[in-house]
Amino acid sequence: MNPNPKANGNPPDNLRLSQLVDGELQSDEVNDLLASVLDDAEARGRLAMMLGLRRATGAWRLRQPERPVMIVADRPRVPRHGRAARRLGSLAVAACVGGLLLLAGIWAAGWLSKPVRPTYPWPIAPGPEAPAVAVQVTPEQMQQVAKVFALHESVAGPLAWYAADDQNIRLASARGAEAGQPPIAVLLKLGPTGPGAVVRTLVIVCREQQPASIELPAESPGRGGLRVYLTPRTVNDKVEMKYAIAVDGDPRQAVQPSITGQRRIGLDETPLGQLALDDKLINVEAAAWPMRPERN
Amino acid sequence: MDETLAANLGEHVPQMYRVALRILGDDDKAQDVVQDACVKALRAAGGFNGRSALTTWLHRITVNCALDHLDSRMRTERQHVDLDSVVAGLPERLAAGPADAAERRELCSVARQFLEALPEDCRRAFILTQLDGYSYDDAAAIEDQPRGTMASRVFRAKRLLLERIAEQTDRRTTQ
Repeated sequence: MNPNPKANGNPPDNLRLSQLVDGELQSDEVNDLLASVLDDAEARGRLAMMLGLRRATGAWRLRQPERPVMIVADRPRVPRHGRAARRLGSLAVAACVGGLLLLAGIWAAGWLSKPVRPTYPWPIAPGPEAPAVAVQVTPEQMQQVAKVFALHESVAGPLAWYAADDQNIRLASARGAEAGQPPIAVLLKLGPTGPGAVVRTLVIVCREQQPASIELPAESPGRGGLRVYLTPRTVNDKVEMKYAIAVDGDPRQAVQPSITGQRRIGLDETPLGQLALDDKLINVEAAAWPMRPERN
Repeated sequence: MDETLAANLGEHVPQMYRVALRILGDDDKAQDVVQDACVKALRAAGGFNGRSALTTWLHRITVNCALDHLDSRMRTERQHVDLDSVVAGLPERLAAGPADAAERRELCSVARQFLEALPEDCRRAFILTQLDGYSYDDAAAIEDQPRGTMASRVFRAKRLLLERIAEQTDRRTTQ
């Protein structure tokens, strides 16, 4: 008995066998066709040939990129002297996403997508007009960081770290066990002292106890690029962070402005130190928090 | 749309990679092309009007990016290279018994000839569905053909390949 009389030995059946091995038939059609093939030795032979051909191309068809595909920045980068020599080793695997997602309109709420002004919600300059109370990261902002990080991972695969300011985005792909380490968010702000100072704000997401070496280009020609080294560790819902931060100043200077240290940081902005750049002092402050899985 | 595209782009990367690899025959360049294609897709997201499927749109961007990477002088030569890599696994899969290196080379060459000898429409349908990994619906959209036409072309390509492989096997057996 054959539930599908058409399924016997003529060209249309071969066409259906072809669709069967390609997974292009509906479930009921598959059942009908398989039932008819079981009763037909010649059809079984043709099905075996089709399957052999399908399997022969399987290795190619299942090929995947060996490394996560990163989206490379298309923004012109500011040339800097001695850049190659100063390039940090881990950046070999880093890829840049220079504001593409900003261009695509992904950046929610315009958090970093507009220039930071003195009215920025987290003023850090300790000048006379600065608020006396410490500014704290809000739950909405934490959610926003988690969302943006998840979005980038959905495009680029697991990330070792992610760093963004209002002009640039940098990513590094996770290797080995890195991807399994819990993510930690760090908000880093640099700004000259005094009223009206323009602050450069970075959002960084790195991994628990995994060092992150991040290099960001100058935010505008003539200004210094920034290099950040972080190793965070969660301690009682705060983040114990080893850090080294350097700003590229005048290339003729023998010593680059930099600060290093280790500090326990929470949601309140915490001073990390000051960088002496030309005739200015740059305040560096940070807030940090372990990122929790989002609950729906 | 922009956010949706960014969120869904990762799902399309493997297919985009295989398309680029097939055209360029070079793994590193293929990954670069996928990066470029993702960039272009994100930047052009506003121009995606939804009239074509996202898969089709991304395929076209990838193909264009890959072709941009090719010097026109090299295109013909590269096509040979990529077909060689495509057919590299065929002999082991199709040969009745283990083949030595010389036999494998010969079978590779034969398999490439078989692919190249297919009618153009069948060859494209075969490559899209069997190598790039597109569904019949996606391949039909890419080729701007009905799904039934695509299914028919895929089948004809398979039939021709299997016939030629059988002829080749018979010839080797009688030698």
